[in-house]
Amino acid sequence: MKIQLPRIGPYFIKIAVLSSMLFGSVGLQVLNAQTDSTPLKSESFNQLTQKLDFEAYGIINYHAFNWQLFPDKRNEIDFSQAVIGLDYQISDRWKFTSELEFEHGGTGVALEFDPLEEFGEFEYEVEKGGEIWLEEFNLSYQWFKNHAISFGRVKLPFGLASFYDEPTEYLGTSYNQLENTILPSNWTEFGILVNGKFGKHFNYSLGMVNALDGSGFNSANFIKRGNQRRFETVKIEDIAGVLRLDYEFQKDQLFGISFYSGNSRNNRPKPDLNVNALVSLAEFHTYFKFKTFSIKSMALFGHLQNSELLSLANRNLSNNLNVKRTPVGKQAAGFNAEFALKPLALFTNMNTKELYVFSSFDYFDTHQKTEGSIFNNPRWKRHIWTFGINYFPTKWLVFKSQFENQRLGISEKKFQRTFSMGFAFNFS
Amino acid sequence: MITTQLKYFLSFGIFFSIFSCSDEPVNPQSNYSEILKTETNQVIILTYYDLNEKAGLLSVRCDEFSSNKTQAHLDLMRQLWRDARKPWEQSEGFLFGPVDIQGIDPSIDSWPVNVIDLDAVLASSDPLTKEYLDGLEGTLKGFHTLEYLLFGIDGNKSVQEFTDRQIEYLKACAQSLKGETNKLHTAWISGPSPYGTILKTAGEPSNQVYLSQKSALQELLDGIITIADEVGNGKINDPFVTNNITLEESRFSANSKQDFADNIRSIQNIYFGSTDGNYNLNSLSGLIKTKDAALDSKIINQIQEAITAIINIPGTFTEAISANRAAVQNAQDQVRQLQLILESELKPLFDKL
Repeated sequence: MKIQLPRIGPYFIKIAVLSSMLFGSVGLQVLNAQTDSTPLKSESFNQLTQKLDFEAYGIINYHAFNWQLFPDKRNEIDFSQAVIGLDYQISDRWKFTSELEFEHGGTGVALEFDPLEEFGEFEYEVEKGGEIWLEEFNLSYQWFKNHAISFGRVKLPFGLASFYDEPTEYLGTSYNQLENTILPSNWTEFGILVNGKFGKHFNYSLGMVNALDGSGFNSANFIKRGNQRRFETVKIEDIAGVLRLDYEFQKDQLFGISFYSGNSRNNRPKPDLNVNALVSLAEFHTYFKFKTFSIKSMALFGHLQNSELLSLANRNLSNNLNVKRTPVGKQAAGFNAEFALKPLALFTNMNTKELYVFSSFDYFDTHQKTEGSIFNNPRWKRHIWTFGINYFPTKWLVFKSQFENQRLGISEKKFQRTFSMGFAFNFS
Repeated sequence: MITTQLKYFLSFGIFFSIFSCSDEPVNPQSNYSEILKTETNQVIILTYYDLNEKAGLLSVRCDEFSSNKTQAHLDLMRQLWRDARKPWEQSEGFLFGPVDIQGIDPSIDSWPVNVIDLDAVLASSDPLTKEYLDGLEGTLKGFHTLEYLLFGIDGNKSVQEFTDRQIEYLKACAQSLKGETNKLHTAWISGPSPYGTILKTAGEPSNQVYLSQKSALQELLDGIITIADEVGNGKINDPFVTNNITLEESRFSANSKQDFADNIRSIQNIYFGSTDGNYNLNSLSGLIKTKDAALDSKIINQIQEAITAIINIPGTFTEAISANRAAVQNAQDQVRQLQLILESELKPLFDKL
């Protein structure tokens, strides 16, 4: 008889690393800065409000569709996003950050009809707690002048959308399609994040967070739906690491890279995959904003280990789990570039209201490579051109309109044309 | 002393009251294990056995097709497809258990066929094997992909129209279907915890799925209500109200009327506890007869009305959508009436069990 010893090793290491980061590094700093904390009750209401930072933003869009593959797609109005953010500067060094997001304007269970990926099956999209959720909820501690550590539900420092996520910060009616398709929207996870500056121009972020759940991966969106939102609690059997480095010439002029790596096997709802499924992502981004024009661009590369076995395991998942179960690519890759012009700024005296004209191009393929017997479906190779206008009557309000032409990598019925317009606000 | 006597008196009183509570006669009707056994063995497992056998026959004939490319062989495969389709449609009144939990349903019966991707797969140079088809999405395999390949978009595909790739695909697709039906049948009868045993032992302390026999019976009832709803308000309704034949499920084979009737027969099979149309004493019908004989007759009658109305639609369902709308309307009404009785009369009676 062979006695199976419990797998204490890897768990112990995970717990030890997390605990030492949380209680060791931070704890020491807390002890050193005991005098820093001021009791709340002694503060007057005015002092309290000075320390509170309130923000609210949202966007409502109208979409008119002309999709060849899905001619019956109905026009829609979508309350895509409404976010209330509340930050509180607890003391000089401690800060609390929260963001409550109302997606699609409500709570509950949304019934989705997805004719493109599953060709006509209704599906219930259940997101934890309906579609109101705490996007961010974390505490941060500034341990040195330019370095802080955050823990709780933190925004993942990956890609452009995580830094320019407010509708007044991006020009389209949604984020760029590359990120919107492949990465979790408003990507936040539980974990610890260290960020800060060094040298004159470098910004960095380094984090450890709960990893993705591979049962949510699919053909059309690669790892996007692996962001755990289905269950009441988030599994943290696997931990992911994330690193970001930016070189900032000056404000709004930078280029940088970020990496993400984490297994997606052990955070699945059931232990039904017996090989590792490491997700590795890398991206390079640039953002240059000048007086009359701006350029934003990124290139993204993703790799999934054992994608064939993961796809086969997903195929046997219960219908009740509401996952796509479609074959997942081994590699996904894409590129995005956006060029925006401020025509009124060319005539300096007419620059009182801001008007942007922009054009962007996205190319991405979520089946850049497939593994083994998985069919490399050309439908997932997408080219998208977008043209649009943004008008800011005030800096808190923007009216947007755009035309998007998406071409799928198939020989017929390949065009998906969408006209969108909407308005967004940001009070902060 | 008095307080001690009072304690004894109270204790006796409590003791007596406990026992008098449990002294009520046990309702002999509250043991439903014979019904669950009958439904599992005589209906569900038997239907899946039949499905697996017929999918096997179809697969064998498809394997032979490349060496025997004749119209007669194609006609035989088409008939075998219809034969296999019958037990599948008759299983749709109990789409719970492994077919749902293990995600088998989408691999067997996804609709509509994803023609765009199917053409892309045929145009690729990937080897078309069972394992390869197993890895594809549900809309690229199963009954309807086989139907599309065997009958063609207008139902009149000739032998000459088959390309070598299509024959390869057909063979692999039939093997993949057989693999799934085998998986389904096996999941009910063998393995560490066969689902048949789980259903039959509902309410026993070791049963983690059905904590009571009543919950198992309600699963059966929900299953037949769901399929009545799907036939009336989905399968018939969608092509009918939009007058759009592309929404008709088994259009290529003109098998829709047969599908609908078999779906209602799946209700009948579960209700009667048999697959041969004969009433079994240990069945839902037997149980309802003891509670409300009039309701039992009403349900039996309405099941028959619905099947007859579907069969009596003249011509094919595709033609009838525009040429015989009154007959389609009547069939839909009868199915909806059945759903109404099951929901508003049978379900409340079940709740009181």
